[in-house]
Amino acid sequence: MAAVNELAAVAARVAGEGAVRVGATAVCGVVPGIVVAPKSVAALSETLRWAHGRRLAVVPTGAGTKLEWGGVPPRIDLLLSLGRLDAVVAHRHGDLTATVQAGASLGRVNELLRRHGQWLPLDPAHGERATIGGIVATNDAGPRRHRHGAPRELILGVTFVRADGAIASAGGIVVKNVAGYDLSRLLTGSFGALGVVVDATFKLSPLPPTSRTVVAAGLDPGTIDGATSAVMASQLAPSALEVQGPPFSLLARFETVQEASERQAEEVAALWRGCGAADTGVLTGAAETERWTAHHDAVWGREDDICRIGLLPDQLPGLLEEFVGLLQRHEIEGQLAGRVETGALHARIGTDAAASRAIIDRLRARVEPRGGHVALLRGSPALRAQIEPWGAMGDATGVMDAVKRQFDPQGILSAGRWPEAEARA
Amino acid sequence: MNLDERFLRALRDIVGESGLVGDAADRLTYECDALTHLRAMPGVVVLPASVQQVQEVVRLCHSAGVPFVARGHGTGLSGGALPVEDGVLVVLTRLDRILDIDAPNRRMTVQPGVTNLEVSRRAAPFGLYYAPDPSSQQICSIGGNVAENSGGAHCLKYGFTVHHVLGLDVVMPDGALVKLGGPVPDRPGFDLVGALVGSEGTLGVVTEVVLRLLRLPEDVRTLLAAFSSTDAAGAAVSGIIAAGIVPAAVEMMDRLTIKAAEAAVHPNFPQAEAVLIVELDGPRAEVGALFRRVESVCREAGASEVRVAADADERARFWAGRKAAFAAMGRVSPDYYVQDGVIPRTKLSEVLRRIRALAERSGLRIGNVFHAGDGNLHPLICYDGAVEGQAELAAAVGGEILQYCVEAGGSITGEHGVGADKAAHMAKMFSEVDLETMHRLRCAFDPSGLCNPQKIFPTPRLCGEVPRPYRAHPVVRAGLAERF
Ligand SMILES: Cc1cc2nc3c(=O)[nH]c(=O)nc-3n(C[C@H](O)[C@H](O)[C@H](O)COP(=O)(O)OP(=O)(O)OC[C@H]3O[C@@H](n4cnc5c(N)ncnc54)[C@H](O)[C@@H]3O)c2cc1C
Repeated sequence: MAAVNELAAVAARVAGEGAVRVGATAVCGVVPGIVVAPKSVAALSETLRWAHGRRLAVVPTGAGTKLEWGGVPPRIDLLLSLGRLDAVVAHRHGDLTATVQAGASLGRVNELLRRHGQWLPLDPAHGERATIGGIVATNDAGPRRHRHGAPRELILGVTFVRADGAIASAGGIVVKNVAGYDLSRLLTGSFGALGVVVDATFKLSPLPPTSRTVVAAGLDPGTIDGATSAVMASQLAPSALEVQGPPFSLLARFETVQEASERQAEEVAALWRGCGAADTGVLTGAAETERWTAHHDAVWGREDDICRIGLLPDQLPGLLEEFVGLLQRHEIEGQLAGRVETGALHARIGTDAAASRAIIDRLRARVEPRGGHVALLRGSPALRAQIEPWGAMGDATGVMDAVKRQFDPQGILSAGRWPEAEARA
Repeated sequence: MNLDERFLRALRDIVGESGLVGDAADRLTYECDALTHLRAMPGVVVLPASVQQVQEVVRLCHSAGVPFVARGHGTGLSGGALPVEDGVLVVLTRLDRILDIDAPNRRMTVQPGVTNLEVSRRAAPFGLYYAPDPSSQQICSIGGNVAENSGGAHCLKYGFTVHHVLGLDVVMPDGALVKLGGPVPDRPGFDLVGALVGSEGTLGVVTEVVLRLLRLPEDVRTLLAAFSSTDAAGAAVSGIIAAGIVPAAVEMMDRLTIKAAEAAVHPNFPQAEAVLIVELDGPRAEVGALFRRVESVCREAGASEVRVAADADERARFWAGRKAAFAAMGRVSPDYYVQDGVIPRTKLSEVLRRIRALAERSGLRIGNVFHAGDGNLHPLICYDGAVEGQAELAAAVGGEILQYCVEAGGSITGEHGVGADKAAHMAKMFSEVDLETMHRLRCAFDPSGLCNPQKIFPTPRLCGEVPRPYRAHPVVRAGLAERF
């Protein structure tokens, strides 16, 4: 404690009065030493330069909605909060771009962009509260990824502070730009291990004029196969195509001009009924919004173990069947939701470590042979003690290590999020 | 050629007699890419016929300390495939097989020498296509597209190469073969595919590419609108964006390029100061409604004529006129230099005004074609190489235009890459720290700096000793001492 207080006192000199506090809540059971919330990029840079010199273990954080995702840091000396860097730096509506600081919440950003009829079309987990920095660091995306892509598809440029405190930029503020290496994408999804993002520029979209969602409920995996294949083989253009359950539903959302959303919703409803989905209806307005909230909460609404599954679209029906079987076998009330065509799912699998482990092992065995993966995002300490969170990482880990060593030679940033070279060897 | 005989013999053993171009006259073909004023004679050219041969060639270069450059079909416009004098040029054109078409999952796996258009041609029977469509698509390679993160007329709506590449096999600069990404998205780990796409052949040699395919849209509608000024055409583009419409493509051509295209392929464009080509695609009901809006926005912005393509043939004619624009400049000028810069779209009139003033001041004619939707300018600087000093003047004018782009908040390249041509301009956009940070990525992939050296970065850089990662001292680990 004495050491922590001493550290806090020094940090306050570096980061500024009022930027430092002690006594943060634990992250996956690891209690951070001090929390520093710099109020400027310069102060953040100074803080990191200092931390680097002292080789403190640093973990950046925004709203903390995804702070527990990925590997557990063995130690956190300094939890670096981006909370005070929360400005929307620029909304260039004529150019459909915006630059926002890492600590700004997606909800607030979109509230501002909406004034010019635009938005950053991301709907990640805990979407309103999630901060830009956290969304970039995790590359987390929700249903609208189907049309708009994940954050890595929308990012145009970044400014970040390196582990040694240097401030660097890459990319730019224009939608098309191939000058220099694409460090924006390298940082997106790196879970804070390569640098601390302080601002990012994104390509925006016009807000859709109308929305409508077709929901087919009570489906078995066989019907889902037919129903999703029918949509994928058609020339319909949904903004989201989701599966959720058990019991399984399919959702297709159409966000476009009125006549087109109406027409396409009717077409999908007819297609699905033709595939044997008797309980199919079209939602609009409040009922539609409510249904999508329920869709989000099905997975994210509880403090269970949660994993992220990547697979080829044609593996989906088999996976759904297996998932139901596993839940029954382990007597767990789990839920799964995700992007049918992208092959990106999230599954909530209860809180029983032994069962979670068995489920993840089975799912990995199913998807990994064809290049798929199952990553544990959130998990109890008991589960984390017996499972490697990322699963098979392929043969690129040597390159990853080399990149990490170049950007963070002391290994101070988000250590433990990714398996360390030594641990693997 | 200064490569030693033993090295050459070892190369020949790998690729065979037919895979090696040693003869000076034959090597001439490979002196430059489509940016023909930058030339260097490669020490030797190899055309490997398998991934294993690529690996062995690279491994040999690595152990002998010989620099090497990958080359696709040589259509690059920034000297990216410019050989290193006395180095090895690795030409990937023989790796031209389509390895797998997975229609249900909309993936195609190809070798790097496959041409861009071939991918869409092979996908078409399944109702699928590959979205990035550079004007050079009949002749450029997927490997080159990956290296340059190539775009096309339709990237306003569909994005660039990086949005459509899921996985890469890469022969690393030391000869190791690694798989980055794969057919399934979100593979755990850093986005090394994202970092490699657009790295201009400086991080390794791509030997296999997994591409994402899209379903052909239900409806496509295209119009051509004529305006009395580029400003008026620019206002129409702003109007379209302000109406919340994201067209599949919005292209602009000015009087000089219209004239050149007319002479070359007779698209029968209206004689105007500027024409816009606007294309919408998607579900029929959506395209129908939005297309009417686009037509009226064009009229409100003062279009003197709005021509709607009646059928696929007429649409193809519109596009032939646009896609021929670069080559057609040969009809109106003995030589020309294609510049590639980006501005925020809203700065279009301002930057065009500066370019016009520059044309007057320099005495060189400058034609303009651009991807107007995303602010990607392609000024075509006309000059006569036979006139003393004009080539240098054209280069200086090109550099000045990049300065305008950067001052407007844009970029020195939107799709052609930095290569050898623009390395000197990088400092206009990026600070020394930015460049040094980018270089760290290069050091992670290619610490010995043999893979396409002298590109992208303005000054030669070496990879310093990287400090070893911190390892806790046993005393610290045992909890006997704090680190602070
Ligand atoms: C008339 C014309 C029109 C054009 N229009 C467009 C356009 O609309 N949009 C656009 O973006 N570009 C355009 N270009 C530029 C050019 O076609 C693209 O940059 C293309 O991607 C280059 O492909 P290539 O096979 O010719 O590559 P090359 O010119 O051979 O090489 C380009 C770069 O890629 C690297 N490279 C090639 N293959 C590999 C590999 N397998 N692994 C690693 N590195 C590799 C080379 O080292 C080099 O740096 C145009 C060019 C011309 C001549």
